[in-house]
Amino acid sequence: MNRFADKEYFRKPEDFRLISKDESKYVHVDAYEKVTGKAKYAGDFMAPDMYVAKVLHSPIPKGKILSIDTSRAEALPGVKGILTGKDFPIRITEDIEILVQGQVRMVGDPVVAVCAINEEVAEAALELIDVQYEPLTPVFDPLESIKDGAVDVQGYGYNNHNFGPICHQVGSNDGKDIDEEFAKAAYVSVGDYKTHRIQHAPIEPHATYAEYDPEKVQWTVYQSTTMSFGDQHWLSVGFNMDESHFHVIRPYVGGAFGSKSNWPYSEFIACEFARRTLHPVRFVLTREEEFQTMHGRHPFIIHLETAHAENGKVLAKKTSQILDGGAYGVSHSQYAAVNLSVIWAAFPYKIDAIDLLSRRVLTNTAEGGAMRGYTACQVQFANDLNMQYAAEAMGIDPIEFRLTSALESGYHSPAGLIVTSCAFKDTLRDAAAFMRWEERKNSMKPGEGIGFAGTAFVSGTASPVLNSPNQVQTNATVRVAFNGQVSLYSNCHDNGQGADTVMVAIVAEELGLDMDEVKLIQPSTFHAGYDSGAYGSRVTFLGGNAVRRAAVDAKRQILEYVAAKWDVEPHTCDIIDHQVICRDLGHENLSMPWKQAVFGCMTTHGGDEVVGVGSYYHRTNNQQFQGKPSNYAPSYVFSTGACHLNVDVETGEIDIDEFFFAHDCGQALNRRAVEAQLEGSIYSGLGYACYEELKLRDGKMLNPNFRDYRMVTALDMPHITTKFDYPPDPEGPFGAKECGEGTTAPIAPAIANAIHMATGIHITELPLDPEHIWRMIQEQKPEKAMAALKAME
Amino acid sequence: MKKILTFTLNGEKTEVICEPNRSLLDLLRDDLGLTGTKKGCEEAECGACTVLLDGRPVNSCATLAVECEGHDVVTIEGIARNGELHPIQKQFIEKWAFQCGYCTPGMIMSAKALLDHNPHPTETEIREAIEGNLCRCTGYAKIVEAIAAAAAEMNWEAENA
Amino acid sequence: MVLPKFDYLTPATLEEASNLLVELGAGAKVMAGGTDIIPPMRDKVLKADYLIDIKGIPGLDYIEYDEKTGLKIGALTKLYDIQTSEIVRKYNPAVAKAAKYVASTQIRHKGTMVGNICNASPSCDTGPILVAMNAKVTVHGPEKDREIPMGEFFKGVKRNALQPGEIVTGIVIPPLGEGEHAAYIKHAVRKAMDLAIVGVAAWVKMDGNVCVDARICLGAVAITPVRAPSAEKVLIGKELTPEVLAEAGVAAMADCKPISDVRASAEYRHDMVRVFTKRAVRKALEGYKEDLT
Repeated sequence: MNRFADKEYFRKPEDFRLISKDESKYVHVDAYEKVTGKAKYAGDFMAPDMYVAKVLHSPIPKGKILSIDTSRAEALPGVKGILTGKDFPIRITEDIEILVQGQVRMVGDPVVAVCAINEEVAEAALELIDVQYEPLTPVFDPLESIKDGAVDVQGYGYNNHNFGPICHQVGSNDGKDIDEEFAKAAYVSVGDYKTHRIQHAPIEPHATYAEYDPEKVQWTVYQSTTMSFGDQHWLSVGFNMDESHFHVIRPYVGGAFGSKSNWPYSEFIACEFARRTLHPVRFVLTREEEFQTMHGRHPFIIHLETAHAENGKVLAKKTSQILDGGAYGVSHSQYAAVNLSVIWAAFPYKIDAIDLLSRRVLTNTAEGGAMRGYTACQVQFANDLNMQYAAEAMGIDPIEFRLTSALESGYHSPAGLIVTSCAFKDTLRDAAAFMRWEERKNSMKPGEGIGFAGTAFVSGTASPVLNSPNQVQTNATVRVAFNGQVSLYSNCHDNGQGADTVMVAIVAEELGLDMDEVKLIQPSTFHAGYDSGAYGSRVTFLGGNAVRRAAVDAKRQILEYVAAKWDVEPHTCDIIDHQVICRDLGHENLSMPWKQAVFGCMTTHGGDEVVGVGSYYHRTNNQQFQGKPSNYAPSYVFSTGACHLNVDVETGEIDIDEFFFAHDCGQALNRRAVEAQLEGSIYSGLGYACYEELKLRDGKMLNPNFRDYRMVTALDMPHITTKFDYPPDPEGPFGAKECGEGTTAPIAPAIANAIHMATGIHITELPLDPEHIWRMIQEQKPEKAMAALKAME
Repeated sequence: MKKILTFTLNGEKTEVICEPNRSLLDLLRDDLGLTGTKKGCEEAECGACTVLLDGRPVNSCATLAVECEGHDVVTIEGIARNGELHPIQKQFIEKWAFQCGYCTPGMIMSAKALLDHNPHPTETEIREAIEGNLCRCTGYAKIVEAIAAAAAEMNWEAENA
Repeated sequence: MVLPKFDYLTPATLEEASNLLVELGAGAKVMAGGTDIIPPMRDKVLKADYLIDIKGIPGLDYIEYDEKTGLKIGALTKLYDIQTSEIVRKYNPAVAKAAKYVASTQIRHKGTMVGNICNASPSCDTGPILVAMNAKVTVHGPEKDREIPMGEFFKGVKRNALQPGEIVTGIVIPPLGEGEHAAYIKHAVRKAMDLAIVGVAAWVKMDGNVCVDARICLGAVAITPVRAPSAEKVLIGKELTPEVLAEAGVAAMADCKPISDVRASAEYRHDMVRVFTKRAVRKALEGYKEDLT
């Protein structure tokens, strides 16, 4: 059964036993393992004969490797192997080498790998390796990098050498002309914004544990990953062998936030050493390596112009966005960064005329990549602040101003995006009500402020990354054994967000069983079907739909058997709490226990097991990678974040006493999990807005550690209230949509708007840590802040 | 120089041979196979490696194994009682207080150290007890809730024992 | 990452420890909690061939108070025990608060106040209040025991006044007499696990509304915690009105030489010295209540 499945067999909302019930049998399937420490993460695997791998990184941002002398390291007892770029004469995508081959392009580029009997020997060996470089002139500023005559960041000699992907979308609805729209505007809001560099910093660093079987010519790779089929694919490219040689197992994953949808150098190195030594090899990144080499959030430089009508309505928008991509990513793998950043600029308002340009530029700094709310956190920060400033300039209430242009169901954006379910206006109104905005907006004391920000995000993507049949996103299988036991074969990647749990719940819900009766086959590339990965907010929506269809396919077969026995229409039957029942008028008294139904069904089919298959993909044109209009996602989500805070205008410290978050995620499948995702989003957004910043000097990170990379502690979190009771989505599984990724985007602008209200400072840059706020107050000396200062004396 | 180290680990007398430069964290994980104690930063900044040393929460990455000579060490593997999960573990499940689970063992150990000495903590005291445990997923709200609920459960148990 | 190799020694007496230090020379380091030793050794920032763990030496874990000498804290007394001590909270709450500002709960359960000052980091949280209180450290030496006033203890970044073979055995903090008040405020971005951008300790002696004596000590704005004599001069002999406090804050800016680093710019630190000097004196006058927990 595919996505066009007969929906007649779907569980009806009135029959939900698990979905969105406060008091239900909804259990966390990882619970016991995770609270007892029994959950094994990739770095927890070990064997007595295990070796460890380590890497020597480039200390300079750009240079030619003149020589590598590993002889002293090789002579060290306990060293089992050494690899350099020569051993991997390939590139992963167009420009990424596993170990660099002759030239380093950023501080932290992997240069030499060592394998040894233990960590101590491996680290000692690294110290004995001598690499001589000829330093080359680097470029760190993206605006310098794109100037004529700028040095070539990578040294590959590509034309237009420092540009990565570009996305430029120009279009309009109803034949509108963008220049005319600007010409007739009552107000044009122009702004320039900048965002900073941060890192995912999952508490579990990337880790690989690899074994090699020379008889089968097969690797078993335990990988801290959210994209195991991507790992398998790129390993096969890296080793120039068929995918079937790589059994990639996704164990428990200790957080990813976008960082583990890559194919890190560590897994190739561990696999190669495992092959050469026939010993298991473990490679766990250090915290510093995690910061230096695992592609954090892109810094942005944004220019924005929006045209507004008399009532504030957005008529048209132009933007030019430059992403600092760091040293790598010229290929399509980074296309999502520019493409998505254009989509966010087109949302969450009705904008009938657009000219949106995004360019990803190379610099000799750490590579930028996907991170929770991929590019939305940056773009929405700039866009929402610009809305706020426009509202103020036009003298219109900021909530009213946003409502006037807010997206609604049925809107077709000139960017190709089609809005289906949409409760954006409700989230704005709910936030205003919670904050008692009308009552309080004119009675704030100096230093006190309330800020709102509204954003939108995708619920799933159109890109399965690998070229799959029909561009299918997820394949799922549900197998029912003769004793009624159900196994779910799914590779939906759980990185902590609860994918394993929600998939089991979906099957249990459809089949009328309890969650502990559905056994999830621990995922790997050999044990279950394709799943594209945990990125792009796709797991619940796309994976959930595939899993639901697999469950319904199995259910249909059982219901058809029972219905035939009862001589009723199969779609009038359902399975409720372990009983097949019939809803057809006059047959309501019929019932058959689940196990009996399964046994009978198999008997009728010659003993064949009941197997249900499901898949899902988002049907769209495939133009998004050509920068043409396309409907990127099957559905979209909408959020409003709001906070109330006080600013200490002397020190720049802020004190957020209340954070409210309204999120249209359709039907929540598990209320506690949704709430937890929203709380986590606020944590993540607050860290981005006010605490975290990776600082670089001459391309070198100054704080690649948890001491000076400030992550929010339990004492720093504000009180949080969430709301997510909005109508179900027509296409999402049980009506569900995205939650937990795009929800990080409105946090920074909500805080910025509140600080702006409290102090009057005009904010255009992140982060908003005390010193930055202090500096803006010092430089701008706005009336409000000065009044607040006076009041403090 | 290698030393014979004798200490109590999760209630059992334990004897190992180790070098002075072995951290308690590496001893637990790599020599004794107790991988429930997690390695997050090795800088005593994330708290994932928190264990109890004589009842006090400490970063096992910033503790030498040899420092434990004659002392009492408890890890996440040692807190279930009589075949039952510890009330903190139960409440972490009940309140959905973990996501990826990587900070969870350390978080639970910090919570245990708190509740063992302060059965009626305020919310601020709970937050202070876990101030050295970074969680990248939850935003801490559900963790704080779970620890408060565990305190209530333990107090109820104590009163009704 | 693995710690470099070293020998680990556990003397049972101060004499033994002191002799080991003399015998083994510069390669030997004293450790108690080890929280400022182990991570930097792993990062190869700190080198030691020998770690001399003094935790086995009896009689060094105490918190005592008497009206004459004041508060006495042992070399092995953990920061957490100081922070929660009823004695410390009662007789010198600013010291309890300073202890609590250090790092995280876990660190404070292992690390000691003596270790915190011996480490002599410019941003050390317990240094400024001890200097402002005119505290002394008691030292066991190979030849003789001695006392070092806190004002003379810090000699530079990670450098203290100890001579070869000397070991700090404790800290003596004079009592807060009639009309004397003290406070310490740390300014950092996070409420825990952060290093001070600026830390200011203030001690004032009041006669009615008039300040008759004052000591201000600034942390994280020079190579060591430093006194702010210009600010003290402003305060002494005056009624501590908001204007006087503001003036003292401005004066304190001249008493420090902050640097720009990854945590803050010199410019910001300078201004925060102004703000927190003012606030620290105000806090001393206000006293501590519920904000100690």
